[in-house]
Amino acid sequence: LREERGIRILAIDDEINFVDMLRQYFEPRGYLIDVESDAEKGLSRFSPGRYDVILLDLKMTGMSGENIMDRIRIQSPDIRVIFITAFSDFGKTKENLLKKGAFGYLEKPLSGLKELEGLIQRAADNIKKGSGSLK
Amino acid sequence: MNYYAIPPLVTCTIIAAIGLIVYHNNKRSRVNLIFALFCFSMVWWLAFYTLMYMSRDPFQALTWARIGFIGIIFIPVLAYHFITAFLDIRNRFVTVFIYVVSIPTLIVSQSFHVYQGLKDEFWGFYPIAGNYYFVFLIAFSLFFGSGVYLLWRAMSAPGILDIRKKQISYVFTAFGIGAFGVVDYIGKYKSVDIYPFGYVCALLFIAIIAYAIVRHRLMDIELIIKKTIVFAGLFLVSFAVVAFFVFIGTAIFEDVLNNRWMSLMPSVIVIVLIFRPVESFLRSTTDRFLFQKKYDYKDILKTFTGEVLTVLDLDDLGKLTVMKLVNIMKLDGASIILHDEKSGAYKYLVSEWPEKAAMGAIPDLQPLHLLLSSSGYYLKGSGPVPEQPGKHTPAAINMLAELRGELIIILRYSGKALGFILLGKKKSDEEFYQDDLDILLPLAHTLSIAITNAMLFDKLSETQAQAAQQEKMAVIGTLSAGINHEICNPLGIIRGQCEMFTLNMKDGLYKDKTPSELVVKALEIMNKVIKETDRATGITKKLSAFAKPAKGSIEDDVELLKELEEVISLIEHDCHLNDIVIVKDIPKDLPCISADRKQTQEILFNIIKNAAQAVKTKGTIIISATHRRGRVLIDIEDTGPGIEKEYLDRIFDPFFTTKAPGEGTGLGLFIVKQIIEKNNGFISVESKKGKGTVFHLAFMASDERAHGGG
Repeated sequence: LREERGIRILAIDDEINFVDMLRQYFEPRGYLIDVESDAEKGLSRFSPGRYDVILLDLKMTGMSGENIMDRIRIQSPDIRVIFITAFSDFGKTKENLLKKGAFGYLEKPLSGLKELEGLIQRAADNIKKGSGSLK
Repeated sequence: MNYYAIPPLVTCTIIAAIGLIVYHNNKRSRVNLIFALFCFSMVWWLAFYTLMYMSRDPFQALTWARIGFIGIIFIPVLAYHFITAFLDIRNRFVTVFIYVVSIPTLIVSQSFHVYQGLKDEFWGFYPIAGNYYFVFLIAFSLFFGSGVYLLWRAMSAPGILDIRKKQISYVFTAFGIGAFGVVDYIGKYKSVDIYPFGYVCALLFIAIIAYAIVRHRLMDIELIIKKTIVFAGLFLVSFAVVAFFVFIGTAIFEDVLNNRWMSLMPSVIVIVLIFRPVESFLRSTTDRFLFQKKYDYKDILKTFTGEVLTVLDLDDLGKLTVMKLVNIMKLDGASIILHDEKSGAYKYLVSEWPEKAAMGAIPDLQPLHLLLSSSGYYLKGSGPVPEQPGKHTPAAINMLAELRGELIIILRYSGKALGFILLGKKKSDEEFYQDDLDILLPLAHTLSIAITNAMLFDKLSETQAQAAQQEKMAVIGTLSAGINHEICNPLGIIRGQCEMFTLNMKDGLYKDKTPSELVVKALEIMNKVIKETDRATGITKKLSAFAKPAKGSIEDDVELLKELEEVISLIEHDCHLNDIVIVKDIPKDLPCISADRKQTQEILFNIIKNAAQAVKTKGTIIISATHRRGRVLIDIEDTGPGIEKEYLDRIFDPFFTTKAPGEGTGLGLFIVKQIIEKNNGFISVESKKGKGTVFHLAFMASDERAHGGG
């Protein structure tokens, strides 16, 4: 069953303890997860077809999550991006990013890791069902 | 012609004028009516005595004297009646009694019992007292005396208002002097040879009353004197003109026209021609000499201008102007109506009328537009102001009627109509004269400038307030977003780590781990939780320190060198480990800084710590200070990597940081800047990539030069 899932995740967040926690959660559950606490290093890890879902922090030193999404989507437009951020501005940024094509937007602290897992699942299913539905 | 007849005649005229005006001023007032009747009794007496003096026939003269006595009978009666009415003593019985008592005297007045005959004196015929005459003298003394007594009693009553006391004291004095008129009565005894100067007393009496009217608002009429003088002057001029033409006319035309009355025609024409100029002359002369204080309009204008231009609040400006106008010119009311350019509406800036009616809706816009499209003023009726062509358009006249105004003055500044001043009737019932407009027009011009200023100021402060509000909102926005970010990140880690451990346990993912391995795992997570909790707490601490109000105005004399040494001792160890050298270049005679001592330490600590963090390893921090123009200037320079140009502008923004999460909150320099500004200081930064950074600080130097001890 684990092999079947095999969803490939890249998590970039400059809070190292946060991404470390994500790795500790997802790895034993059969996900292939790479974590990176430096934005530029994280971006360099990416190449088209290597990951299914990208988890991004919004505010990072060096480069913003939005910036990373823009760059990744040039190379692979169908990639599913989920933002996990502690930044809050009454939903304005969330709205903007979702409009721009982000798959999800979650606020820290997460209300549950299961919720995130469910969202990642849906993102992955979404790709399988038909990448054409997202333009 | 008997010239001794002239003084009583003039007195008679003046008293008649005063009596008429007092009565006319308030027909419903009992006091005014009785005063007028009192004047009338004196007029009666003086008129018939004048005729008596002028008579050449003794029989005729005696008849005039006896008719004149009817007036004399009522002088004491009406004096007493006036005093009781004036003092508001209501005793109908006494009033009726004094009138009834006078009836017998009235009955016998035309007989020899009162005036038995005439004596021929140098001033003309004069009556001789009859056997009944002493009865009248007793009545006179009683009535007049008790009247004066009532006045004296009222005047010395405790708790009387100041102004009322003054009024009564004038009436008291007037009647006191008037009492000397009794001389006339004594002169009527055969044996006494004394010139009857009673009319002088009457004149003095009237003069005092008139003075009290002007100065102390006696009977609520202020302009009586002015009107009286104008009236008397006009009367005398007319009289002189008529007399002159009658004299000339009789001489020239009598033979030709054979008609005396025809000769009056030229005098009528002359009177008509000179009436207005004479009136105007008399009015301005009386204004100048009698009402100087009230009408020294240049002074009024000067004071007003000075005051009005300093008021920058539009409402205050309006209130001040209207209040001054109403008080100075004694108006029924006044308003200022402004035209709002944006909405095109007219609205009252301020309105001061006794009845609210004038505050009602502002009528049709059309006439108002017509008004505003011109300049100058609009005056109701055809007053003595020289008419200006096109000024009295029907629309304007209707407007005035509807707004209940007497005069409208347009407020206009640099070609722009602002609105207008609306003035009500003068309380004195006078019309507006050129003199008034000479005050009002420049005043309106000054007011226009002041209103423009106030409006600009309003706009400016509104913009400033908006900017300040926006800035405040921006700071709050940044702060709340920053707080959220800085607290939610630790919380995210805390929750995630705990949840991850719990779920991994529950899902059996730790099945193959030994208990001791699990304990290690749990401890690892707990340490992270503690670290992140401290991180979040640190932020709230910093924020509350930032929000802490300033200590107040108590400022210390801070010795820079001493504080610097204390601060450096805290970070020296760290610096030493990282091979950072701190150099101090502080002159010995540097004055103290006027600032809070603790806060100065905080400032220095933060900047030096930042510098050390920037240098990281192997470098120098140089702290130098100079003293210039009452300020102490401090430079804190480091040999670090410098700050990127794009960050330089944001370096003092809250939550701006280039440091990794957990290492810096981005509040340090923001708080430093706030504290420096709270201490009347100034901070700026200068940096070159690869060369290092300098923070420039400036503080107020305290007066004391205390650095000798070091």
